[in-house]
Amino acid sequence: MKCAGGCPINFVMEHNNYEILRMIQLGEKDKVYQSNTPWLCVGCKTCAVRCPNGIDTSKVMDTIKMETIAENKIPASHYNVKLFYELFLDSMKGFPVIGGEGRGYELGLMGLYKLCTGTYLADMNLGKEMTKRGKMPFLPHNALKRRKGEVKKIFQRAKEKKAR
Amino acid sequence: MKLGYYPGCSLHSTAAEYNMATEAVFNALGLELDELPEWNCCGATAGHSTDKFLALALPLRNLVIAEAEQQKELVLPCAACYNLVKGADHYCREGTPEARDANEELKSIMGSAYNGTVHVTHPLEVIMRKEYISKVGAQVKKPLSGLKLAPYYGCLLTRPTYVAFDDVEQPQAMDQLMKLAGADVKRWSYKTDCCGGSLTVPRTDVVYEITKNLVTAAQRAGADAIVTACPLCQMTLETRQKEIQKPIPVFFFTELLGISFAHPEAKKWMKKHIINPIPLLTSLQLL
Repeated sequence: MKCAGGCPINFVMEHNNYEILRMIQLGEKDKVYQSNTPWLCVGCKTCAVRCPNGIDTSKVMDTIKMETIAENKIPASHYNVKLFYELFLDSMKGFPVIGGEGRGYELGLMGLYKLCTGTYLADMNLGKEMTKRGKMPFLPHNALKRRKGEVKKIFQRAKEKKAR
Repeated sequence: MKLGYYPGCSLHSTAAEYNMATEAVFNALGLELDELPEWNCCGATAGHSTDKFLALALPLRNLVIAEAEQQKELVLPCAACYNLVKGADHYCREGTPEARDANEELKSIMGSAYNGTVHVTHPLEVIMRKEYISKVGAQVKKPLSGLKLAPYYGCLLTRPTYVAFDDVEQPQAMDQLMKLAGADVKRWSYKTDCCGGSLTVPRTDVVYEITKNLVTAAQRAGADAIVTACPLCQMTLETRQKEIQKPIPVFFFTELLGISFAHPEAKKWMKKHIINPIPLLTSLQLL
């Protein structure tokens, strides 16, 4: 299997990507939801370009992640990955008072992630070095001026579509 | 010539040196980068992993703006942004139902939809065009002699096939460009392996393992440094070299081009690196 053979993360994955596809075919939903494989998939598309059947497995992994979240079946051990995704997108919606709609806000994201996970000391030194070199701005990028609210509306529509 | 430019969040923060070097090199080649006004984050992994609509609408919004600004070409130096925006462009041209839906929503939010007229590109692809690559040779004033490099493409620059401007399994663009700048380019087997960037915060343990393998392989191939074309690869490789006895610097390809052009600002870019590349460069009398 060239797809799984080339996967750079397979050394920590509980199941290879083709095994996940087989589980889906067999309707073993819960086994798929429990697997750490989708949450470790980095979406590098090695499998996608190698698949002789034209299946983009990393896209399948994205869909599994979405369904696991929607059905609220995400195992605690994968929670941090989901949390990081959520906070990343939240940081694009902007913050009260300091703003920052539309773009990622590295410092805010890292601060919130640390607060939520209690990993205060991890990467502390790195953060300091980045700030020293001007690579971690204190304030979010306030970019949307004439087009304020557009990105917020995109997120609003996404929420409405999910509720349907 | 003027080109539309989408720096992406990281070129305004964690990869500030990539922004400066890319602009400097493009200017030296007679190209002007015109930043897209009021662009938004492409959503990166978080977007496409959690929401099908966001995965398309966030990158598409930028293409709508590019079209309104009459930019025929949009250059994206971040491989992740490039991949997502190019993907959104591809799905619009294909006319998939999801892309049509996202476009309709954007029309009601922004007043216009994307018509598929922008050429989405990466700085590496632009420089490799005949008209610019011919200028590179003439600009090289300080060949990168003795600099042993492992060119690292990572994942999102060459995959999937609809974003590829180079071979998906054995890309060559950066190899050729660095050779042209005078560097000693090494062959190695990991040039398109993913760095694990999107897991660098929530699963640092896994990423340490990946970068250890990558950096060790580059060193085994005889490289003293890695050269990338993606801000996420660069950051991951530079900040996660744990357990490596002698950590090696990770450059952006435009930085090295800038050094070979003897650009006066090059030292400033080097000071922004987490793994200090200055000793290596001064030992080779390149800085």
